[in-house]
Amino acid sequence: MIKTKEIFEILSRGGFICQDSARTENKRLYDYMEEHFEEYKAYYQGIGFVLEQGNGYFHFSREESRAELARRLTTLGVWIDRLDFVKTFHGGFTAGCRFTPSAITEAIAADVELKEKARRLYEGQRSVKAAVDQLMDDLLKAGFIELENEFEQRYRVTSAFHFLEDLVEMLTITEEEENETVK
Amino acid sequence: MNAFRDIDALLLAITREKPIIRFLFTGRKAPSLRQEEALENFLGRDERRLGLLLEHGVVRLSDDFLVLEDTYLRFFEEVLEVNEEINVASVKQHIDALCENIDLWLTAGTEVQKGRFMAEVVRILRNIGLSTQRNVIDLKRNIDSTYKNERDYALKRKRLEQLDVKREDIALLVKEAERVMGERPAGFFGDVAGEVKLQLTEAYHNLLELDRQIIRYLNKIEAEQKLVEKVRRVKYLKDQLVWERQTDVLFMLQTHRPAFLEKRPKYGCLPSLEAVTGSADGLAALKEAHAALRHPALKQKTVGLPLTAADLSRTPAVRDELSTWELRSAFLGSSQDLMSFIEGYRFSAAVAPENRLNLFCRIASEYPEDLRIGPELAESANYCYPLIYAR
Repeated sequence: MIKTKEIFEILSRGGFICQDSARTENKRLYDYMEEHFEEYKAYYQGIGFVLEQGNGYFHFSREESRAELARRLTTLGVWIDRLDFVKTFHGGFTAGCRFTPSAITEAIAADVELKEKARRLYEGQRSVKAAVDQLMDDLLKAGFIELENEFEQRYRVTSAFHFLEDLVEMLTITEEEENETVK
Repeated sequence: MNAFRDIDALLLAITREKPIIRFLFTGRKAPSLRQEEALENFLGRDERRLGLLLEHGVVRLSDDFLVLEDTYLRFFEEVLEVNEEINVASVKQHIDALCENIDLWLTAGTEVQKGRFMAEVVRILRNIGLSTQRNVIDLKRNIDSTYKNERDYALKRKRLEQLDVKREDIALLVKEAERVMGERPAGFFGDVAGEVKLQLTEAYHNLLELDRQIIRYLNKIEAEQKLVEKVRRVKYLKDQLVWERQTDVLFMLQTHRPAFLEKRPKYGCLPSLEAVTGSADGLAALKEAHAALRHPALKQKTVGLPLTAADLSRTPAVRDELSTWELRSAFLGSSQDLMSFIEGYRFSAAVAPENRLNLFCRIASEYPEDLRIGPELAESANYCYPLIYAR
């Protein structure tokens, strides 16, 4: 096993190690972890972390959660808002998708629904552009997108984005709600 | 409508009107060029040039906008391989023409006639091979670009389904062409038959792959759409504050505890005693910590320079300020032009000439509604300025 410290640094802070990362170092870690998955899993199990493999990404779970349920629920809610926003922007917004922040700003200008969602995305923001910039920053920090071309300001969605989608997929909506029409 | 005399005349006209043709071609998806704009920007205000293009059917008018005539549009699109329409009909025509020419060859009496029809048959066969190949390439490009670029789910789905029908049509034609060729004995069509057969087989294999591709894409957009709907539904329930009850989100969070949803942890650790006492750096750190613990106030580092005695003095500061509003009111009552007025104005304190110029600019820009800024200019020692009078 190599680079256990680097892997721990990334994953224990809620980060992801992706298969399709533009950063060679990250990608190399992924390949290595995939090859020695069981060893790594057993290693981190010893310090209370569960190494989990998703669709093209690795992340950590805890055996015993330190954060309260309510707090995690709030965080999840915030990310549901962001996920809903980017999916409204483009239904195909998923791993591998490329986009520029200016395309989002343009789409907001042309779509009232998107504009409304952008307005509610962050409290006390000054403008739509500020909201989009903040969103880019959050997605970037979480590792869901990477800057692919600095000159064109073009971003690419990484496999880690599957994590968010998987969380939603995991949810079951009860029958009574299924029958209601949702706006 | 007139036809061009010969190819030279056609090429000449196209070369001469290159700019407008290029503009119309690049903007073919959304016509935006009006007749007057075309005359102004591309045709040097020469109505005859526009007339020539219209007469020869290179361009036509569509709802006030100029657009390229279909014949040219299709020609350019096909040659440049950017066509969205896949023309299956042309292959069908080729196959019909092939059958007709074979019949003619059978009825022809002389060798010369037979030779002529055979040449035609070979030409058509080549065309069938090439057209089919082009159609397959066009189809693949269109499938990919529809999947990647179309944002509207319903449109994307419909278009992919339409392209699937096209794929079936092309596959049918390939089979038809192979059947017609198979009806004749080997060697009937000469060397060209082998070549075309190869092209057709290759095209057919590609079509099979495209079939799988379309199914994959359709499944993918179906899944994407389902996810989008689910995200919306979950978001709706969350906004309604009922998602804890109507989804199993709490159970999910109890069973799944991703580090992602937690606060980023900070890992602090204590230094080893050996390191602290056994090294110079450790000792220095220890001293610093000791001092900080003894005088907690010292920990707060001062930022910036301390305040001076002048900053703390209680005498109020006096500064001259000019009111442009008052100056404007005085100016409105005078008959001079603004610059002469300001230059001659007796201020209660001394005002330097460059500050007077500054005042001139400020009044001119702050109260334009009260001023009449004339076209006449006047010059003074250093600058040229417009004559401004009160309205």
